[in-house]
Amino acid sequence: MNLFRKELKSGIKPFLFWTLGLFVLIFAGIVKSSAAMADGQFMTQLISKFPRIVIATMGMANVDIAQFGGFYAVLMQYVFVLTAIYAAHLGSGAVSRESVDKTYEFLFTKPRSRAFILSRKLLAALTFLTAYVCLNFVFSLLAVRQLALTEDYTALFARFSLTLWLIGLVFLSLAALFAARFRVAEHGARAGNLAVLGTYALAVVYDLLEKPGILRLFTPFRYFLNAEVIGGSISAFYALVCVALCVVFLLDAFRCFERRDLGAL
Amino acid sequence: MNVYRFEIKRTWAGVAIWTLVICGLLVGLIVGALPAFLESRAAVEDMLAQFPPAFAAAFGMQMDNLFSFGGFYAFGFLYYALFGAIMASGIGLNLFSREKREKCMDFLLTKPRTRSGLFFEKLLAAVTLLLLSNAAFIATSLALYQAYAPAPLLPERALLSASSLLWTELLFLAIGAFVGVFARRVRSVSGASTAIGFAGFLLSALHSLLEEEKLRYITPFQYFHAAKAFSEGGFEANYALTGAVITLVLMIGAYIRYTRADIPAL
Amino acid sequence: MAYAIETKKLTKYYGKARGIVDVDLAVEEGEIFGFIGPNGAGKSTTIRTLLGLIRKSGGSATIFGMDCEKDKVKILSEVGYLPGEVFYYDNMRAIDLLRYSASFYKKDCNKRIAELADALSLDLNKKIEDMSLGNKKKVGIVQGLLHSPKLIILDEPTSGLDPLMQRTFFDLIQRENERGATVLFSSHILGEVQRICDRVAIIKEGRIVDLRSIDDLRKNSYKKVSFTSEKPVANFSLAGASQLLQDGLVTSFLYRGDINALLQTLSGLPLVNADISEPELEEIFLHYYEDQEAAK
Repeated sequence: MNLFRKELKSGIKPFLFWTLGLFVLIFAGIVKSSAAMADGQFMTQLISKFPRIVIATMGMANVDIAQFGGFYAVLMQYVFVLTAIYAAHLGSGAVSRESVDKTYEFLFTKPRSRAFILSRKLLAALTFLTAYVCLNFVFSLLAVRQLALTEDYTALFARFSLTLWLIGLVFLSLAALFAARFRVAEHGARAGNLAVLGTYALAVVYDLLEKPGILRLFTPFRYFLNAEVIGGSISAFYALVCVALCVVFLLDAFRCFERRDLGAL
Repeated sequence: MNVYRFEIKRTWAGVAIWTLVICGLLVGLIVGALPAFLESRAAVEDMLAQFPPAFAAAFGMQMDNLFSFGGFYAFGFLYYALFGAIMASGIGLNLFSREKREKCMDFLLTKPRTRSGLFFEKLLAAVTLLLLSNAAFIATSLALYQAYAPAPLLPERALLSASSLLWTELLFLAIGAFVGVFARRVRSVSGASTAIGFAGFLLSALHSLLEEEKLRYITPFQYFHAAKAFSEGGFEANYALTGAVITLVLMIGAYIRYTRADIPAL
Repeated sequence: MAYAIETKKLTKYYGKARGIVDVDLAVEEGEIFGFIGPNGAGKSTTIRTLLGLIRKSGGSATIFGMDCEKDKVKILSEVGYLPGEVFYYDNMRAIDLLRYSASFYKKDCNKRIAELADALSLDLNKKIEDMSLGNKKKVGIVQGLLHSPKLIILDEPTSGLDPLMQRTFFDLIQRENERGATVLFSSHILGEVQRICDRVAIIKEGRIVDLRSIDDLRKNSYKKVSFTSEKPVANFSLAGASQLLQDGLVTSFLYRGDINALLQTLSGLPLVNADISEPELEEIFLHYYEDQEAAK
């Protein structure tokens, strides 16, 4: 559909920009990992002596940085945040781009239902997110080749990329929902960004509590714990939660979008 | 000064909220965790004893710096700086692209005021807001310092360290202003400022992770290093200078563009 | 004669694309000056250069004898500008915006704001973003006039106003003019220009193609003539008549020349009805161009 193609074309520039950031993060991180890992043994022991709150703020909870797996997990923490912001940007853009650009009169008086239009835009957003996650996988593989490590980390990278994608889905759909619900597009965007910030803070809080329990449900950044993913498993339950949240958020977004007045800011 | 008053009226609420968040976080961290952190020193020293003496000695010298108010203060700094960077770049973007976004450039620029004057009134409003926000932050920091730091107290160092947030925020204000003036469209101030703030955050995190000293030249959160301010009584000249130069260059660039650009019809 | 606006060879290039080239304008103090031309001709560019919104590439522009670039601030305190498209800050009531606008001028404008709002039936306590287009334009009008400027510059001001509002608006402008204000009025809606302007300049593709008084323009142009006769008139001819159309009993043409010759010819015919009228400025305008093209 030409709508889908147009959305892809207009999203290419931001996509390249975000990909550049991803590239820098992964390559710099992995290629230099040897330095970090060398001290890793010592760091891990040292950090283990710190009170939980310090460990949590450093993002090093529950992870052994001396191992490449552990190091990669810490690096991934930051990629998760980067991706969450990009996903939120994609989601809210899909819903409110025309409102912000004031081109909604052009698009929404064409003989297509709002649901049709929104679905094509979200599909394009989803395409970008998927491509982004695939690049994460590819960059990681390429970067690790510079290190001449003995083990094969392909499976680890695949698992992390999958969790990255699932979490990205949640933020994308949540941001889309906010954008559909708020009358003023800027407020919707702000809500989406605050959601990312807020859940990140919650993730830190999660790390520092002994028995975090139900808190895990509120922060997508901890749906897939580092220990589990490094160990080789992805929580099926939380994968389902991600998909379920995504579906619920999107359904509500469609519903709100159908009914709202266009022509606000 | 009507533009000054106008901009402050429109922006102060958001700044107040961010300030509360930052100070709240500060209080939470210090009150909640500093005592426990200082207590863990003993455990760390025990652990060090198991390592070869040369190694232990090298690290041991940093123990005092690490297990001090200053060392701990710096841990949280990454997060204060994150929020501060988002807030400050948001102010810059907001104030300097306001008329462009709300399509009323004609309104403001056909008033009997030089563009230069308009720019400086906006800048003054932005700086006022940052000063007020940081006054709260510095006051809170100093109060906590008095209450929680072990003697001997060096309030000048605490003051300098707390001020590092202000200098960092000024840098991000300049970034926001620069982007706001030069960008053809600013679709979402919140989106752009979050991205800018997180970019700074990620660069800093990367630097901590990789421990590569040269990286510090592109790590804006650490140009004005809070911990070093405490331990050594001053910011490191070359990094602080880098930060100051970047701030000035961006601000001057924004000024030139703002005063010279053609404003075509909508 | 003191000139309110004077430009000499004013030129603006956007990169390589021409904006305006060698524009010479002289607007006398106290007159209402029309500035017409097709879309993209350079009307907005000229105005925006006068106001300091864009930088000229060459030539000179002065308002009240002061250079537009050097004395911009002094000039702007006496200029009111009404742009074609009206946007204002979000989340502001009309009265808040108007007071903010007034705060830039060293005068007390409260009375003027109330007077103008009253004349235009504008509710000052509504939020601008919640207003209809017409009401937003009213805010724009008040905003441009509240400091009683000596020069009023209007850039396609009546787009979006209903006919009654247009009439009210022009009455307002004329009252300002009677008070001594000079008006520069750019439009491509010729009916408006015809109604209130003293002189008019025509701009096309960046250059002024003519500058004359309205009456003058009409004098050198056509009259529309059409008559209905009792019997079809064969072989109708008259020196100075052109574009002759005959449809049954109705004959119509355009006439340029001595009015007496026309009336004598017509009086010789068995007429049921005759209609001699001034063409709309629009028709003059278009024909004017055709003449130019033909003359080339």
